[in-house]
Amino acid sequence: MIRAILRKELTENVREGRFRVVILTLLLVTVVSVLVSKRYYESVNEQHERARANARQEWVGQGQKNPHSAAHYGTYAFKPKYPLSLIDNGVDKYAGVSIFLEAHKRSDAQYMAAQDQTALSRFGDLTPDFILMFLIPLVIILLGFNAFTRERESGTLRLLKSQGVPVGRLLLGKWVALYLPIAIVTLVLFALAAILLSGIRDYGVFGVGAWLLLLMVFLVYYAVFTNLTLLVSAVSPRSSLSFVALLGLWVLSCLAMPKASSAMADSLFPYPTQLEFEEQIARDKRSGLNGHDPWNAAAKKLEEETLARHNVQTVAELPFNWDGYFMQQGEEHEAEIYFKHYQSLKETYQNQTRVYKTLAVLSPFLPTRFLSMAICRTDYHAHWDFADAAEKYRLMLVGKMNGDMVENSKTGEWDYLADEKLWAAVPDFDYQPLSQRTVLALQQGNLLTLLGWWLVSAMAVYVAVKKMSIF
Amino acid sequence: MLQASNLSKFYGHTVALHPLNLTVQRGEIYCLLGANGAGKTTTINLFLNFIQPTDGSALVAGIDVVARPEESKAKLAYIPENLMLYPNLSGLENVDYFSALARQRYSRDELTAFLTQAGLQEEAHDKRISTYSKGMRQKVGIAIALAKKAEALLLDEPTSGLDPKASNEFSELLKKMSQRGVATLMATHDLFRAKETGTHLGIMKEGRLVEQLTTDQINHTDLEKLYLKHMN
Amino acid sequence: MIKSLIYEWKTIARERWLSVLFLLFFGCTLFAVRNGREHVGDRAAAIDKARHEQEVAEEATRFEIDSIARGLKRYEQSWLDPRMLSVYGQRMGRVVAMDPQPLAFVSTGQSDLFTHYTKPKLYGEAYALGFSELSNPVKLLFGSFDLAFVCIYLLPLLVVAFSYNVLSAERESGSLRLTLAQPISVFGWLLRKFMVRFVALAAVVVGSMMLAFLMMGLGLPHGTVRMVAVILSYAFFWFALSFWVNVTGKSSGSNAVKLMSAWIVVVLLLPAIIGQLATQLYPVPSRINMIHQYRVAEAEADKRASEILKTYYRDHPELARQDSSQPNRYQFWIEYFASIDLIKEAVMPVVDRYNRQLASQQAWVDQWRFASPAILLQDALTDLSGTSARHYSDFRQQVIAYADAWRSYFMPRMFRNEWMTTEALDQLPRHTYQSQHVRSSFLIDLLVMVLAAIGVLAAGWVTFRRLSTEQLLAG
Repeated sequence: MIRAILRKELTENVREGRFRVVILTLLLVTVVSVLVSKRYYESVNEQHERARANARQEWVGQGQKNPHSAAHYGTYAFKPKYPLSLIDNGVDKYAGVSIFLEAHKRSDAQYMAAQDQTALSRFGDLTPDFILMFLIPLVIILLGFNAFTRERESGTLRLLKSQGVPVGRLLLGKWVALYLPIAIVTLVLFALAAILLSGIRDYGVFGVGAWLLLLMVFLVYYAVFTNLTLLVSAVSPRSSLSFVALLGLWVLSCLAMPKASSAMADSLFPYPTQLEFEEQIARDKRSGLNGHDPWNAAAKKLEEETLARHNVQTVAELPFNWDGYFMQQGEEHEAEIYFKHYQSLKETYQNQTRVYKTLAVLSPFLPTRFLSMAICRTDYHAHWDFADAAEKYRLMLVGKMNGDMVENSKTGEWDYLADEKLWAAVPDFDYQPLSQRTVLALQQGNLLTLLGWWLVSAMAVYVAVKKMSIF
Repeated sequence: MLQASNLSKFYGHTVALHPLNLTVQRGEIYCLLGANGAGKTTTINLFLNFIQPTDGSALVAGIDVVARPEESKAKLAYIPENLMLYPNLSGLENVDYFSALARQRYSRDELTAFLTQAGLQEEAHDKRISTYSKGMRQKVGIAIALAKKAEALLLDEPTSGLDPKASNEFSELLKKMSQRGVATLMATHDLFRAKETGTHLGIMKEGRLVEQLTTDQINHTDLEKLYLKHMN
Repeated sequence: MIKSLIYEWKTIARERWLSVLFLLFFGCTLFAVRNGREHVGDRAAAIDKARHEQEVAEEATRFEIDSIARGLKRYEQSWLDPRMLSVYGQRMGRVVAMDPQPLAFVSTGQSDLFTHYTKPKLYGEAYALGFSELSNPVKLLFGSFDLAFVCIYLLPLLVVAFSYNVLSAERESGSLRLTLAQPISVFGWLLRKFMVRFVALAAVVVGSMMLAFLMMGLGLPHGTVRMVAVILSYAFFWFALSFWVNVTGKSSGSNAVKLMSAWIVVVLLLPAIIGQLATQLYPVPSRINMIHQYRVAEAEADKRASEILKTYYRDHPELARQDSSQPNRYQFWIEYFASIDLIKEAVMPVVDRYNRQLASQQAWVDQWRFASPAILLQDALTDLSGTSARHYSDFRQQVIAYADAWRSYFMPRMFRNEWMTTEALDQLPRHTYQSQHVRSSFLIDLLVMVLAAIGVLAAGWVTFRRLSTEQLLAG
């Protein structure tokens, strides 16, 4: 019986012009978007590769210099693109891609792509994630809004009931008929992405696990929308009402809720402005220990202690370069200041994330969006992880420079020069993206929310169809 | 009042209506009989200018319905098989609205009078149409026709689905209107009602008017025999 | 005639779900205005605070300079002495701010991407500034729930829900047959039905906005009339489209699907495709590459500092000091200033190419914005709000100009080896934000939108003319 229902539903669909047009358009848009995204991915990666090589070359080839000057000269850390960003570019467009690493100063990632685009980019780009997150749910609604109302309006529902069709099978038949074409389009998109990713030069680890997980997330997301569509169609007296209601639902969960949750998160836990943030740090720096400010109280104490420890009268008598040592102490102190301020920024971000996670209960879009970005390593957390790694690298680099000065030169010997050997001894910045396990652990809440949506909507649609009125 | 001369309608090679000649005078009730798809509704639709005739002409009070549709419609009233009105408006409001479309203005009392004349009990006048039965809706249709001061009435199976009492009331209303000189053209399946109410009868088959007679020429039994003869 | 309008209104008013929709719309409007007000309030407060802090700091510094001049205080370290031009020019800086326009709360536009105030210093190049603002990129990704969002995305849906079945519902319920039997012009009758709905919706939209403005204590800011005009013309466009779809004479379901598809194309797809094409056709050169060029040029300049300075003096003899008995205390800066031009020369080709491509992108988008009324409305609203890309690029130019002025103030004085004095403080350049000269596209946007709506209406009329009553009734 289930096969008969399924066959009838699919035949009906395929014979309807709307179905063919919608599915074919969707397939076309999908293929185009994946190809465009691939081009973008390749060009960005090429740029990064070149920039990385340039930065390294600049660093290594900076010539003879005092190590501390080299630390001032600094270098750049570039955020690598994770292969799956081909499917979901996440917040990459709105987060900088490069961080300048220099002595005394922690910089933020600079140059977000969105600033180099027109205002139109704020409407969204025609990327695979746009199709996966927004368009496909809309297509589900477009194809399924009258699944039950059509039968009710033409009176066939009455006939069906008189044949004694078990509710569960009727629902399953309609469900599969609506879900199958969507699942096929999704699989095409993912297969295409996998083929392209294995074809182009490998810039990172492309894990089958992540790919599969992402696919599962979207399949569950569509199952939720299929459930909701059939649910509304079953309880609506008329097709038109069902359509308007479903559309409202889509707008609410995919457009309004994300924006509203941002507004709430930002209102509850506001960010400081860039200048405010910088000035807070500057204030702490002024009142704290400063590498260039040896008359500062704390510095004075440090000097006295060091002299006492080594049992000498002046810094010149110390067995190492006091200037280098002193600057390294200053660097470490400043690093603490930075750590403190960035930590508070991080807290703001984590509080905001909590708001998003809580509100995700109200919209299936939100947990899916966050899961997808996290799996593609293009979410805000991945960005923070990169920024933290860059900061760690910066401290290592500056420490190495100051350390060389301490060991190999004497106090006041500012004309001491190091050369390429030292620069090359600093390892290249090599960022390792978060592991799958870490991502999963972080996204547990969103995963549960999405599954909850699936479970509740499935139960609701079953009950609704069971109690469905034939009028 | 209603006149069809050589009126015909083709859909490609399919003939919906063979050239038809038919006249309904003031005060006459002309009943069109025939099976489903015989061309009854097509005839009425042609008089309403809902469809374009392939050939011939339909006149309402001497006005060609194709050339001057608005003038001809001003003389017409129409009640379809399943009269649907605005469910959110009351019976009274519906009459008022359609009268306004026909460029007529009435006071509340006048509107009430039309509805009462049409046989709708007073307490229903201000209830919404969505609460009405089919018979009540048909009565509102009559009230609309009355309010329009129509000279010709086109009815498309108006009594199908009505219970015998409602059907009888409806027939009485038609008679009253014809006494005032209204020309009525009615498509129906109900031989008994046609004989009782109508003044003239026409039997249609496959788009052709195959028989025309007046009701006083024939009794019930013979009418049924005649009808079945044509159908077989 | 008036009576039929009244009844039209009654049937609409008695649809309960419509009032629910309208209430929802009001809720969205109120929330959007609240968000906008908060966003603009934060912006204005941050600028005010920065200005206030600047005033306090300047006053304190003025006092300090005065004390030093009168011998009441002294600094052992020259890099802390505020009389040092370099110390003042690098540490103090003045706030260059982009004050919010009266309607800034309507559309967030690009205001969440860029900072609204900055303090150009002596060191560093304004053209290389990022102008980025601290914010959660997730928020940027999701976009703002502002009035522009409500109007661009939600308003058309309200129009569609309100009008997709004006004709088809009459046919489907059967009342169309009775109506067509009346002596009326069907086109006029249908147009009237739409007009009533348009007026009703306009009242709801304008009423919601005005009420939201008043509830949020915003009053009626300058430009409100223009804002309402462009929003209503956008609604008018959607009504016209709905009218056209209605007179094609298909079922309610078919109308709904058609109008929704139109919404997807106009609001979601067209802007995305045009934007995508802009970045594909005119890719901006990598900013990373720009940094690379900058650093290479800077390193080169560093190496040849004294040589560059010599050439520089040859080119700018007016800057050479008359009395050279004492070494210039700003030697580092003088070398830096001398190298600026050299670095600029090396970097400018990249910067220029970058700006050119960005301008090409903008030109492309400006030209193609006529393809979608949604883009037109976005453009018009950001234009009114002073948050358009044009406004921000203009602000960037103002910052660069001010940074130049700031540097020009200090540079000759530093070459002359002067100190900062209290008199000199009064001559520091000031910046006031000006936006009048930003080219406004509002009128064109409005005009094209209205023309588009009329065009669609005319198309509806042609479609209607081709439609026989028979088709109209059959669906």
